[in-house]
Amino acid sequence: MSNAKINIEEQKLFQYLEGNLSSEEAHQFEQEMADSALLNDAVEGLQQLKDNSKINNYIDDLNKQLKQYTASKKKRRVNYKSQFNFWAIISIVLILALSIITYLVLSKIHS
Amino acid sequence: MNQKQLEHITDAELLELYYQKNDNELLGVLLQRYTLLLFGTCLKYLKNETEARDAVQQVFLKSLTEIPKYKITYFKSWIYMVAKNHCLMQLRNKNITLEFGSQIVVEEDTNKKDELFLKEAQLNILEVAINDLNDGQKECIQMFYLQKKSYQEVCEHTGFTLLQVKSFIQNGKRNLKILMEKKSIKNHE
Repeated sequence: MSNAKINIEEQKLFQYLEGNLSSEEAHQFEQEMADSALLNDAVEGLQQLKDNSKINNYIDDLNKQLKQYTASKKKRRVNYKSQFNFWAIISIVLILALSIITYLVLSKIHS
Repeated sequence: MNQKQLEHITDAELLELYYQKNDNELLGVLLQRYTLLLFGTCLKYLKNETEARDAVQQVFLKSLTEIPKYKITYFKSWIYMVAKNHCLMQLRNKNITLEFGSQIVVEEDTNKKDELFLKEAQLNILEVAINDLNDGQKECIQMFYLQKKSYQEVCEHTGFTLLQVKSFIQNGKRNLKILMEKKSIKNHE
């Protein structure tokens, strides 16, 4: 099912809830409801709302949250990467410094 | 693939793309297609707007962790089961049980078998099979599918409640399918 199709379905759903579909369209929509448990339950749930204008706000909030969930993982991955780079550089510098110090100390002892 | 292109691909294609690229943003696009339907479904069971909103968030989080683990074929059915199970669990935790008959079990159609079944069914068998249904189912099925009346009109004509009408249609549809299968087997014999 494509997003475009979903949007059309959503539009139809809102029109159905508001009673703005012709009887033929309403019947067609109800046939879709009879074939889909998800659509049937969704309509029954949304019919409980007294104020349909709130639905869009809820959906916008949920979609924003969803974007954060899916984007944050990416960011977190980037952060892990930069954190890893930082500690890798520190370790390399420390190992190098220790090697130089050891070399200098040993060469002093020998001389 | 840009946002515009993603809008026109099917759920199955989007899932496939996600399994290939392992990009959570693709899952975001897929889940966003279902926000409204999930919110409505959660509202039906939890009967509270705030709880329904929280439930949808939980369903999103659960989906983001579960989808990578499995190969999902029918996303619509899968996400519906996740949402419904989550709501039922919430109700169970609150010790609320759904009254028997307060919900209709609509069989999720994954491949539109029923639609084809009702549209292209062998009409002769269908006519005979309808007569074998009980009175309520027969009346509702005939009005809804053959006379193309809306739920409301069926309620007005029969005096049944909306819940009863939906239930008669669902059960009638299921029984019809069984009856027709039996009858077509007999005809073949």
